[in-house]
Amino acid sequence: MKLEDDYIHYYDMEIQENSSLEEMLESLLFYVRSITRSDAGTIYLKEANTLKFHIYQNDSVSDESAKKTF
Amino acid sequence: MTVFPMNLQKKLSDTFKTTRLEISQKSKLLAVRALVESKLIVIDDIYDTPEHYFEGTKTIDKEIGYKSHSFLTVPLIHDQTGEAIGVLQLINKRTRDGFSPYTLEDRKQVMNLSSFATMVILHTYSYLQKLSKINNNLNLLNQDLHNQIDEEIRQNELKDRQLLQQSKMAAMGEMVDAIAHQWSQPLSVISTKVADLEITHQLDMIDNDYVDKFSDNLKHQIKHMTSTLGEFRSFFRPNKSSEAFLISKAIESTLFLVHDEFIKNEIKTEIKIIDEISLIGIENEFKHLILNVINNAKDAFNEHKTLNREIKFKLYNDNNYKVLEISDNAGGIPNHVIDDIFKANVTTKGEGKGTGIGLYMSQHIAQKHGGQLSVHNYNNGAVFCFKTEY
Repeated sequence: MKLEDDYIHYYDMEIQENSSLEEMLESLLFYVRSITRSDAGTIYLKEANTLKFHIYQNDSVSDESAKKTF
Repeated sequence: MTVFPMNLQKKLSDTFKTTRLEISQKSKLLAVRALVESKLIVIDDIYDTPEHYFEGTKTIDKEIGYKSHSFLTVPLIHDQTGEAIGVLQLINKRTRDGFSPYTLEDRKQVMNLSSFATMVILHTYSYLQKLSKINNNLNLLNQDLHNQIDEEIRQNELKDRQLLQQSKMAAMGEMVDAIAHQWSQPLSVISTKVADLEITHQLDMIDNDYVDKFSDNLKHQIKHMTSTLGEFRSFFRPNKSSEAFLISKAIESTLFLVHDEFIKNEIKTEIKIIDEISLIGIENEFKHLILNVINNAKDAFNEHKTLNREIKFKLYNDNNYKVLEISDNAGGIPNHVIDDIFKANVTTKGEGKGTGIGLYMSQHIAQKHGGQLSVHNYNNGAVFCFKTEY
């Protein structure tokens, strides 16, 4: 199965209902991370003359430490 | 697949939301370089690489207690236009014992995925734009609909107000008619008395007794007119409170009002109380019902020049009904009007005499007291029947 098909399948199952860009990016990053077995990841999108940070995912950082930090 | 706590990711993302990296050829930030150079960049360990600035990442690491080592940064490039729309960064490839650099296989996979990811992002963008356009249009339509509804409501309110005004005018007209009807009698009595006064004066026959009688009579007529006016005013003011009253008492006080008139017209009255009947309502209004009926009888007597004039009242219970019968021997009601007699502006009297409002109002009053007024001819007269359920 091609990766795209795999994602489309995943996209269909998980994302269809979500209409926001952020949700879609979350799913996309999560998917790419799982394919590459990456612990963390980010997505920036171009906006005018900048790269705007959109999402950050990190499996290792627990809820507890996140609460403590932010 | 790794399951990550969604909540955590949301919180982290929100915290970094404000971050914006300036796109510049000179920038040494990894994400910007990948975008500017349109190429995939792999770093094996950022803490071991001097070429790119990782201050941002290192700060985040510090804050959340994490250490980023290997990086795979890929620009998101549109297949057809070649435009770079963003950057996707993967951090720390996991192995069984820890983290490792990204492999050639990872590069290939991510390269494949990046153009697809670009497509999905652009697709979502345009979808969202379409959605917002549709939303805008919907809002416009909604606004339009709102305006139309508002306009309709405004028109309806205007119509309602006009109708209310019309019915008020009609009611006012009815009231004036009814007062005229009620006043015609005392006015004619007064004018007769005044004429009588002049003649008596010319004959020089005015004594104390005459003045007493004269003033009593006039006071009586004026009282009647005043009370008529007052009662009609209260009749058109529905806020007057209802209370229980006896029909027999209402009959008595009504007969008192017409006492002189009836003597003059040689009308005898009789009240037969088989069962006392009490009603809940406004007594003054009910008196008008009686007054209207007996005034009509009186007019009919005069029109037919009836002898042995008689009006009989009868109060009784009949099965589930309380009944008030008012019967006369004035010749009855012509068949061609009997069905319409309770309608407004229907009169049996000659031109200019009747207003056709009396019985209409009487029916109105009967209904207000939870009953119905009906009429039939019996022997040599008409029988008006007020019937109400227990």
